[in-house]
Amino acid sequence: MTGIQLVVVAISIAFIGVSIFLGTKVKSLDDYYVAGRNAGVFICTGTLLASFLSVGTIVGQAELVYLQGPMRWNFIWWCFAGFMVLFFGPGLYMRRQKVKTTSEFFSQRFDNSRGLKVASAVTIIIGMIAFNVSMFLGIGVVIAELFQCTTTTGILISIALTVFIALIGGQMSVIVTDTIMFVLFAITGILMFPVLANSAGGWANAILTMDEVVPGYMLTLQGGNESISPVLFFICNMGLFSFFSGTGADPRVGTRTFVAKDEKTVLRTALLGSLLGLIFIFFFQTSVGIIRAIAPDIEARTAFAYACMNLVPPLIGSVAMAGIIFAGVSTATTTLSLGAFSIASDIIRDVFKPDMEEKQVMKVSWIAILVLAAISGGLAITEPAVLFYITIFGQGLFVGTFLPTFIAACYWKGTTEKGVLAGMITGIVVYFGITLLGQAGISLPFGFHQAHYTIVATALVLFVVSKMGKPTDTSLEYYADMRGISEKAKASQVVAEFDHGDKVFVTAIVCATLVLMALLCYLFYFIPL
Amino acid sequence: MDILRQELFKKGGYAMKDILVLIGVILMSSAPLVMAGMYVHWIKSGKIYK
Repeated sequence: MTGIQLVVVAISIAFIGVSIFLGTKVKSLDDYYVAGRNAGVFICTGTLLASFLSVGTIVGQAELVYLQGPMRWNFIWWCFAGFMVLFFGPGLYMRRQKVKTTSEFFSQRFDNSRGLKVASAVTIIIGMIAFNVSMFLGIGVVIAELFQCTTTTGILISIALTVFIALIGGQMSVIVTDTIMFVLFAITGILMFPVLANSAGGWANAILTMDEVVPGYMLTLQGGNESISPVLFFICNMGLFSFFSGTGADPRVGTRTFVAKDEKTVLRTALLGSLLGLIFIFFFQTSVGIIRAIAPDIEARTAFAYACMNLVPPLIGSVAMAGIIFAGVSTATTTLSLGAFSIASDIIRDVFKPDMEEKQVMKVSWIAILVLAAISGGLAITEPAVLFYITIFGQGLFVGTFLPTFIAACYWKGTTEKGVLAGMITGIVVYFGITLLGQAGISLPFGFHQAHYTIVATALVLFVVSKMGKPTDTSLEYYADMRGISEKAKASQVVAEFDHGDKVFVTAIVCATLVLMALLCYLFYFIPL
Repeated sequence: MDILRQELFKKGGYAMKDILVLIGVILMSSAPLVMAGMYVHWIKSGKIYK
């Protein structure tokens, strides 16, 4: 066994140990689902970024950045502005109403609607299966590269690790291990940037070398590849898609607000998450570009794993490898748990067996975890598509169905249960319809991702059907409580003050952002020259 | 840096699209600044509960 393999195995054992320990702290469903709603800013930010970026970015996006050049992918940064919409809106309101799952929110908002609960739960389950396929495949690729085994073996190991942690830990374990692994990975990932730039003869030479290996790779938006889609289209298509994903349409992101200890924590998480996300993505994407300059002929999807094992000092490489694997495992655990929660709580208990006790719900969750892992694992082994596209398939379903329904549920009091239900069902049908048409070689005008067309269809149907009916008094009452505009909400809550801690926090964020902007101008444009 | 600058200008220097990208990059990286403004506004306007 090599040194890197030994370090990764040692970190794995520590990771499993932490998960087992935190698993013993789970005493109730609230602990299991939302970690007792007691997480601070640091933990919330860690779990948010680990869930949002994870293997889909580290392995999936790296594959495309390696092939297409980093410049166009900078426009994916739009996604972090999406946190603003989420955390200052739907995320905050869902936390305020103390729901445990996204489906529960939709149901409570509209007179405890069972139909909405089932429709949103089904959407979540399908989307989470797609996410897990990409997670298992991504982790499998990294494990295969590390231990020189087949990708199938890597996928099987990733399934075993994920199921084990999901069964013993619950959200308490997920959010803590997410944070630890993301911090480890982010630090080593950022450290890799100067090391790789140095290996390529310094930053300026790295840019030139990249441009020599593939003309236009670093210095043009097309990355020297005229056969890929034009940048302006890419910005409107993938840039906008990422922004929508960051808005909480994706339950992996939205549910991260449920664990926050108070409302200020939710807002602070948005700020810190957007800043740290920007810093991480900048260093990460540029590092992948440099990897292409140093090693132009490796398999694209193994680019970052290859760099960890061959191009940086072993200690940095091994910690980064462990970070990649377990950031993926903890995200897969989150998605697996969310899907299983939806099956156990939103469908089996609330629809079929309302008298189920907490312990029974947890037991059904465990069975659902095993079933979902088997389905996702089986699909991952077949390697159905490029990893990044599998990830955005799941995200697209959420964006298309949840984004318009969330926005309407949170900001339009005229929204009705029937409107949201019709919108959601339309979203699912349109999304899969366009996907199937694409498989048959029929593409829609303009060639955008199917999520964009789905948003339009969902929003239209939601609006028309809502206009045909009237919201009930109960749903209007819930809306007013959620927005904090009802007398009941005003009387029962204490308004937060803008204190000294807020001043320090905001000043630190503003200063750090300005430093980041100056660094970007200097590194990419050499301003001042 | 000088080598890079020479290379850039040999290739025609910064084009308008590079400047547009720069503006785009600055706008996108300014998300935390906008959010910081909203944070102050929301708390001061009494929309956030303890």
